Amino acid sequence: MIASAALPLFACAWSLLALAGRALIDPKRLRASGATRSDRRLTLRPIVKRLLWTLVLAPGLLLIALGAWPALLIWLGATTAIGWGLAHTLAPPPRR
Amino acid sequence: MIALERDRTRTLLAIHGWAGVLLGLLLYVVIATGVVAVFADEIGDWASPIDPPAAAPFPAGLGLRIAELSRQIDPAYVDELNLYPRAGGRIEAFFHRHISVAGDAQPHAEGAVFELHPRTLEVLSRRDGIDDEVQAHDTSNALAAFLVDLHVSLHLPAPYGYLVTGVLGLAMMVAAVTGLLVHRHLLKELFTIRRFRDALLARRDRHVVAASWNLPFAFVLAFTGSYFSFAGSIGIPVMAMVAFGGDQTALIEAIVGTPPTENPAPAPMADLDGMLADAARRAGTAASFVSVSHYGRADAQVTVFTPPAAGELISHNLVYDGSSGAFVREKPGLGLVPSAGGALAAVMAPLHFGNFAGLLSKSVWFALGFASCYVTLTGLQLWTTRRAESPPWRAAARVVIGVGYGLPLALAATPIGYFAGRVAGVDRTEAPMLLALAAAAALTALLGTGRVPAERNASTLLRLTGAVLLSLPLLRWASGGPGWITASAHGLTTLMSMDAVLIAGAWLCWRAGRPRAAPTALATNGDAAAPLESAP
Repeated sequence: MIASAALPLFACAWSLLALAGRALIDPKRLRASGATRSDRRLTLRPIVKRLLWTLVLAPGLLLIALGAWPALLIWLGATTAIGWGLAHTLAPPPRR
Repeated sequence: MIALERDRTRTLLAIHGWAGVLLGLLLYVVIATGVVAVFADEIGDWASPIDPPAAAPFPAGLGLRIAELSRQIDPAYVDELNLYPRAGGRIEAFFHRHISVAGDAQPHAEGAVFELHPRTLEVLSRRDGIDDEVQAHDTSNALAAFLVDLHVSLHLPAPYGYLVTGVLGLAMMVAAVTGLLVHRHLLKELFTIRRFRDALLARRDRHVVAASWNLPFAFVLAFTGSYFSFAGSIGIPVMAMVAFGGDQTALIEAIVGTPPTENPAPAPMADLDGMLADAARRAGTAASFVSVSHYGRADAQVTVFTPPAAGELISHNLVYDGSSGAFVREKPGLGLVPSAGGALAAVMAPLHFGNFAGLLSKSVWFALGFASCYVTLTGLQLWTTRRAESPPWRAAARVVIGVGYGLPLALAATPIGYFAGRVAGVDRTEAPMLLALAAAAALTALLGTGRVPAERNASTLLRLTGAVLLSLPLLRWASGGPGWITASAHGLTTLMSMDAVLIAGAWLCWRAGRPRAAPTALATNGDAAAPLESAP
């Protein structure tokens, strides 16, 4: 059980880190949350965006290559849930 | 274009909107109960544990015990036999024959069910009768079965319940696809929740972000759910009509296979334990269900079903000759030979139930279901609150809050009915569970009819849900269940984990029930719906 759980857990942890990185420097999120002026000017070059998304999706490609279908499904599901969780966690509080 | 009077247009719009809200609320009920049903097995083990817990689903010595039991019942029932684990690991052995019931097109099973202790194999209970009756008196598994039935058919009679949930699944699928097409630009704003003074606008962004992330799995869960609802109620009859000229038997033979040539000569059954051990060796995991046809006859056939082994997605069906014990073949889930269609049908169950990798996959599916609930409820709240300047829609907003936050309370209250019924010695615990559910619904309705703002009602309902969740471990123990010391000493890990989850859930509900600012109807100026500039 531990061995079979290790693969999807590792994949999810990798994607969590990559997603967190993507979310933290997401220009739209920074602008929407009223970040500092320098952050507001931050933009991401397309190649950087693509690279970050590739990092997020890399574990999925690896799991497909390994034919680890249950791990792939767990990773897919967990990554979407993690993405949602990150978006909510990093959301700014409403204006008072 | 049809010209309509202004009043008529307004009426039709109201009907359109209310129908959408009603459909959405039913969909929310199906999704929320599905979230709970993901852990149906664990709920059964928690509510009716066996102390000490089962070591294996089908222990050694089961074959001999079954042979003994077959001599204790009406010989007419010794034809078909189903063996399956139930709550707490109890083993149910259902000897039966197929009969027709007047006024019902579906065949029924009539026979005797023995509930066996998973370690000692002693008979814990026996129930005789037709399938619906014997299931209704299944006390140990009643709580899990009640919650699953609520999800599968909303407790409506067959096939109407399946049709309703199937249509709701299709509606969810349509919503996911059209949502993607209409709002595909929002996929660029996966992390964007803007700062608004108005809580409703902030809630709209949260709804959109949750919906965007949840889109792929909303589609998967809706598609597979519709498949399960329609496969039995419409799919098989329609396929029989189209491809087999209405002959359902011919269709079933094409899908399941032609039964072996009839040979009613009595013959002793081969070693069932040996077949189960062989199946576990071939599949890489222990059996989860056994079906024996023509028990005790020369043409007996044993089919052993196993869940997916570690690292696999698809379960196994292994067929054995009942009188010799010889392995015959591995049967695909659909059809007689492996096929792409069969493989597609086989992945429907793991994709919908998320039960292919134990608690890990179930936890992920729980999170995905929770996200779908959130999206549905916040969508309905946005729709009704935006129109709250009109009194009927203000009422609709209160109904949405009532159902949205009252349903978790009702689901949490259901075990109270179960434990109360068990303590009172009620034979059919469905009635007290329905009573508990109805009491929670009535309390919710009572709160909704007052002058208290709907948002405050939501807080109250959340806090009540927290209080009920907190009471459940205590009620379980008070109704004769093991305490934590006993559970810990005897390795009842599911029970302790479930208690911990309930306590954590109680804390989360209590925390979420903190009073918040009420959202107003969407403003049409200022910070309303201001689109972000395009992506850099």
